[in-house]
Amino acid sequence: MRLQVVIRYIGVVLLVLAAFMLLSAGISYASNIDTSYSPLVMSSLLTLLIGCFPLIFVPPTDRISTKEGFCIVVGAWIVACLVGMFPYLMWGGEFSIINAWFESVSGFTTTGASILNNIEALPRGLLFWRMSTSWIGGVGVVMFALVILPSIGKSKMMLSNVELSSLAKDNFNYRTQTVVRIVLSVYVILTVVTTVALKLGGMCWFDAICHAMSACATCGFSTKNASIAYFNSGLIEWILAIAMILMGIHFGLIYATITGKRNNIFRSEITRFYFAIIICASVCITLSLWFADVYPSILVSLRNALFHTASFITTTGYATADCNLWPSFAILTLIFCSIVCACAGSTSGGLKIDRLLLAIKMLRNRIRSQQHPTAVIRTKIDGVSQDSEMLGTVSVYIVAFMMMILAGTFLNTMFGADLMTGFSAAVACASNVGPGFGEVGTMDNYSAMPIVTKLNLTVLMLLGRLEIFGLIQLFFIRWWR
Amino acid sequence: MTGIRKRVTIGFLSIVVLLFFSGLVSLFELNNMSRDIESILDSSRRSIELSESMLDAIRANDRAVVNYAVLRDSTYADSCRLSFEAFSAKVDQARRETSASASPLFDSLDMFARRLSGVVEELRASRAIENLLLLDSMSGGALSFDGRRWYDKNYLPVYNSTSNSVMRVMSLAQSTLSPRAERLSRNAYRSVTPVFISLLVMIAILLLFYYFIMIYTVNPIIKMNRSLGDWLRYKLPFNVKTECHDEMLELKEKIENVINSHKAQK
Repeated sequence: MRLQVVIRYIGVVLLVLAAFMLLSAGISYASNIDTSYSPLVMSSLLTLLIGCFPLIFVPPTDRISTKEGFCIVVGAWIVACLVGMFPYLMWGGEFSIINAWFESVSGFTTTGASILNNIEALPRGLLFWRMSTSWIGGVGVVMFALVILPSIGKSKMMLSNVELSSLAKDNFNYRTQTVVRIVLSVYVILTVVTTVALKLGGMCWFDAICHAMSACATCGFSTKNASIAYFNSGLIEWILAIAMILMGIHFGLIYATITGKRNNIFRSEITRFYFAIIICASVCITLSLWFADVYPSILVSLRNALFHTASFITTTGYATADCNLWPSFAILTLIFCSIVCACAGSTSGGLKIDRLLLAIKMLRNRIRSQQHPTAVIRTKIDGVSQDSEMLGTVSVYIVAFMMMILAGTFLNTMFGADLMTGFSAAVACASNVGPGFGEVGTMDNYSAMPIVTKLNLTVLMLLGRLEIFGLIQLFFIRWWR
Repeated sequence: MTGIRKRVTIGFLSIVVLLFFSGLVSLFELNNMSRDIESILDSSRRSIELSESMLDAIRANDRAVVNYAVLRDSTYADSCRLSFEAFSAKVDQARRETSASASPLFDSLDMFARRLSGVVEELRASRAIENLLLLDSMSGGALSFDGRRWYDKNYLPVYNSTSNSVMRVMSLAQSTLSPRAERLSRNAYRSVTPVFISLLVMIAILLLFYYFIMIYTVNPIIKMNRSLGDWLRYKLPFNVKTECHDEMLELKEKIENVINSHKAQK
């Protein structure tokens, strides 16, 4: 493996981060040079220097091996999280080293969990940087660099293959360059549309941009302590709910729908299943809230239920209410949504609904094959037979994901968290949702967690974002031949 | 990719820039810290000066009242008013120069100052003492004014309360400075964070520089040297692979040309 090539491409990713830091410094400058201006400018210069250095020494290469590709993608995520800490650490406030690492990882992995007790105390420049980390992380830090920097050339294919999960590559019947462009175009267009809609819904431009970036990345960072509850607006909640649900759909399908292609969101079996789960979960939670007399009317219950279902299933994590006060059935439904999550090929994290659908079909086929031992039964999605290797990978991933949550819960409870807090925090971080229940509920944060728990949760976030095996492979790179 | 000379220069320049940057940031941060400490010391000094001047003014007023009311010296009639006005001016100045957070400390001082003002004003406006003194001299000392009693009963309690209030303001103003100093000492490490980060980046750059120099300059030279030695000694083929596209590649090609021409001459 050529380490210098890996370093070169990580440097390219750092250039993108430096550009966003400079943009945040620009926001700070426009806000009468707030206290985040010099931390952002300094961080940007340092990041630019580390990013440029390998580009001067290492010549570009067209050939990247799979092993190098893995190292570039995983290394880029980890280095981005480390560099993302710079503005937080330099600014100070509530950001200790662990807190800055937590916030940075939470942003880049689009988890949206926060350690901040007073978000509104942050200057605008730093708030924008916080949103930028989530927006860059939404499509993946390497994917971002692939589109913006044309110099990467033929290596794009290898890197995008590693960055995109195997499931996400379905519905993309184009060349790599086109796929990457489609992903970013859909992402940027939806962000712009959401920004305008939120502005029309009553937010100021800054809040509208920040919330659109965060919603489209399915991150859930807000500029307000009370999250979306601060705005107390039904219109804003509906706009965000629609944006979140859309961002949970495969980008290739959104593009196909916009361009009038045949394989659109209405024909996709996975999308139909995704909508069905959202509707079922919303109805169940609405009825649960209504029967428990949590809200005065069924309409208010429906509004809250739909918003939180969309927020949890798309792994965004926005909140308009303290879900800890909801009945156990509603909480359990939201935890189910947090584990299942949205479609592959979207910005959401978690298990992905595609895998759940495949698992259900495999289960059904297993029962059928026991009834008809000689029958050849294939598992199909949208009429296409799935190969056994893919089905095996899905099964292994589901088991690994559950083991990861179990291990996370075990560690959280070992360091003092109660069962509900420990379990929901592990689910929320592994699925990149953000808020959990108990002490880390929708109206709370992770500041009270012990240092070890915070570190454990950041590992879960990275494992969840890199779909477990990506990060694990890095530790076995020596044995990779 | 540029030539070796340029790359080495850029590498060293980057380190120099980082060193300069770290130095600049540390200077800036230390300057900020020094400014903060200076401001705390200035506030403390100013607070002591203002308290002293308030105490001086109120003591001057006391002396004037003693001379006027107790010692019956009518030339001090104006001094009573003027010294109290000086005291009021000092209180106003202290309030203006103290931070907004310490402003509530002056409320009780204001109350006592108003009471003192009432006593002094009443004494001065009624000209009671002057009249009494005049009557006293006309009656040949038959009518006596007990200035000491008036001073002890009417003036002294208010004077004591006011001067105590000045002392309290002084000590409270000092105590408002201590959290600032405490915060500064607690967050001192924050000031060195940017320097610490730039030093970390510098270490990373140094390690990268070392690694790249080894990969693209040192290792090819060692390989070429070894391979050339093997060719000279055992006539083994000169076979060196380099990834670089700079002077190293040129050197390798030139060595190969020399070897090929040598073979051709034979």
